[in-house]
Amino acid sequence: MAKRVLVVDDEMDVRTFISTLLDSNGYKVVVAENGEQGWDKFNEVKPDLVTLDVMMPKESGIKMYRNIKTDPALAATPVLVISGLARKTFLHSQKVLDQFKNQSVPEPEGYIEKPPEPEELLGEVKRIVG
Amino acid sequence: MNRCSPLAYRRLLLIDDEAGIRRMMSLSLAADGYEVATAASGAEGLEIFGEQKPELVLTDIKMPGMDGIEVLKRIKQISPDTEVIIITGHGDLDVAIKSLQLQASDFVTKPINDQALAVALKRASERLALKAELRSYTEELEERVAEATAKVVANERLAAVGQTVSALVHSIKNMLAGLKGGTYMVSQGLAKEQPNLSNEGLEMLGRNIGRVQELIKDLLSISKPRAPEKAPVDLSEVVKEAAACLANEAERRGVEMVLVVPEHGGPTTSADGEMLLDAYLNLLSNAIDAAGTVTRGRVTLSCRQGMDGVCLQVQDNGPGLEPEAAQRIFQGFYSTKGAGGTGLGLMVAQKVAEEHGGKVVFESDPGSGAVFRLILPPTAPEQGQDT
Repeated sequence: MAKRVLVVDDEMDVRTFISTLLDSNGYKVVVAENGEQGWDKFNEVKPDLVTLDVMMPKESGIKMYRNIKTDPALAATPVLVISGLARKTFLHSQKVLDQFKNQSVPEPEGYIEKPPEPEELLGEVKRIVG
Repeated sequence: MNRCSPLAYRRLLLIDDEAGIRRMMSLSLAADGYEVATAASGAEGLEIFGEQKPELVLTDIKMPGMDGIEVLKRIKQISPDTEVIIITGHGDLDVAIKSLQLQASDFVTKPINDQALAVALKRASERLALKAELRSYTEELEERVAEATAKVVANERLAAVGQTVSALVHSIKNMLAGLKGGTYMVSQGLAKEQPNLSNEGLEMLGRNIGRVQELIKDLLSISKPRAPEKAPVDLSEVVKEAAACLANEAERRGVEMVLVVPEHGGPTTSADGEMLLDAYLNLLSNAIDAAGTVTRGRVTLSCRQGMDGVCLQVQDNGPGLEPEAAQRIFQGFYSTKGAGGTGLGLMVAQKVAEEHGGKVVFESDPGSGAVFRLILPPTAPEQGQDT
């Protein structure tokens, strides 16, 4: 059965690009425009992988990421962050939140800085979910 | 006097009504290296002074017609830096003191002692040199102050943009993602012979190229130093022109545009009409975007004359602003429109308002639309060309 990938990004063009790329390589794609919608879709489709933007209006990807990773029932779902933020910046923000909330949230399974190269993106998705 | 060293200030005007004194003194002064012009009366002296602007003037006090005191006054009026040395008769101490009060550099008494004259001329030259030095320092200082001021202004402008550089980078990365994505879609469409994929890719490319262009335009108008070129502006004309510019866009988005402006003679102010239109277009385009998201979207354009100034207004019946957005909209690179906005439009409008001594204000409740007003101060009478 085709692996289900939830693509969360507020940029329509990025959603179209990623979903076309994954769709034409045999994945089943579901899209969402922000963290709030993404969370709803996540619970609805239980994806095998989430590609997640960080800076989005309404609700950022950070909250959704931590929602997934702090729930023992969901934490195993791999997340590939695709963001304009540098990986270091994202990890730093996570560390600060960890200290603030006294939590320990693991690093994402994959991280790609925008703009993503098609080969790189596909390679990462294959590496993570096969 | 040292005859070997070239004199820095050697152009000298000698005014005396006695031909003998003129001849004798000019010979002696020329021998000392001065370029001497002579005049037989105060009037002639002023005429030659006007033509040649000598640095040094020697003038007799007692002359028929215009006397030396009057010559001194007039020369100091025309050229305060010129050194004027007065020649007085023996015992004319009162006149000599009066001339010094009138800014004469020095005085020598008749019969003229060459050495006393040389000392007076030397002192005058030294004062001229000092003044020239001071002037060059002052000019250099003024130049440096102007340079430093320009730098500070430029830095502030950069800082205003700089605060948002990381946001700018983020915004550009997203555009790049769109461009890369578009390229991928076009190539996939070609490889798989699926024209719809290529078409979608081309649309993505076009859209993102447009975003880059918009961003550049907004950045330029924010960072560009431009003084408003003020002229009387009829605000109802600004409203009409803005409406005409965006009529197609409103129609495309299914938004009704309502103009509430007088047919002739709306409120006027002294402003840069082009900048004002640019600012108002940004507000209007935001309003159309907001109204475009609801059914039966409507924007109402108007202008008003109030007690505290004139105002351009646009009201929409869109979703209104969430409190979070309301706090951030003026910061730059904050857009509620995702790919639709550069997040700079309001910054542009606000910058224009500030450059005119005005401001942009808004009222909004989530769910009930928003009103944006560009308020300009009333035209001050001394600035207004239309009063």
